[in-house]
Amino acid sequence: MIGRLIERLRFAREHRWAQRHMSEYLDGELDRRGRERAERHTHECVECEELLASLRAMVKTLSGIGGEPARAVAASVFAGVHQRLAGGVGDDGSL
Amino acid sequence: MTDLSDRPVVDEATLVRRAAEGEMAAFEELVMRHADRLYAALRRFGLDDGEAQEVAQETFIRAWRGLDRFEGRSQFFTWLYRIGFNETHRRLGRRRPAGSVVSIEERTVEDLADDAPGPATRAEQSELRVALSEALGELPSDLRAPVVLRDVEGLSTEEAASVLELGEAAFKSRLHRGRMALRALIGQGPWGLPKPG
Repeated sequence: MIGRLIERLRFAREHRWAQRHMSEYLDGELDRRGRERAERHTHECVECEELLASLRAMVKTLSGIGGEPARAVAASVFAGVHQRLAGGVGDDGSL
Repeated sequence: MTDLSDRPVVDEATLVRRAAEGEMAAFEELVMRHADRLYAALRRFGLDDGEAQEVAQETFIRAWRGLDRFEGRSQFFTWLYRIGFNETHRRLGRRRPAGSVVSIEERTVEDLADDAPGPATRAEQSELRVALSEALGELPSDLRAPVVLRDVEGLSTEEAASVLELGEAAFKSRLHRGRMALRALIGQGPWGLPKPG
């Protein structure tokens, strides 16, 4: 009985810790001990396993958004910058 | 404007040094290298097209004036991000009541669907991409910026924390909150995120 209670408390503590550190685990920013702790809990917790999988899918997809070609504005931006500098724009943006 | 196509490729540190000495052609090349990416990031921070172009201009003007103070400890582009983000933060603070949504992507759902005529997984990826783009626009700016910088723009934790002028621990905490909020928004959609298995 006490053994089960202690086990439930341990699980709850590890669950809270894993939920807080899942991004760091995903980004490879936990030390070895932290990494093993996260993996141990994720292995025994369906909720954290799903959280990790969904964060992984989300981050992968977000990186794909960043890889899409950006709209070509450089020439017009430079033209505007050049015009404003030549016109002596004040620090507040006023001419 | 100068025709840049015939010039040899010059490394960035040299361009920055020349620009700091007042050489406008070197600065022009820096603008041409970075403006598109900066503009895309500014859109993802929550600015509309016109605002993003204005802020991009403002960013480069401030950069031109501050080049002699650029110490080269960070990458030039990270420095531009910091200037651009600060200006964006000011504008968003002046502009929008909470809950207002800005579309952050130029491309429509139909455009993206056209990219994924193949396997179902690719179609799901496209749907997820569209949903995430829209959900990013719904995040409050203090949670959106870490996700944009780290996950969309691909900056390291150190670089992204530096742009936002946060310590790494504070940045990591905010990034995680941003990701969790984004996940919650996506979870409210019609299909949610894929489950393991």
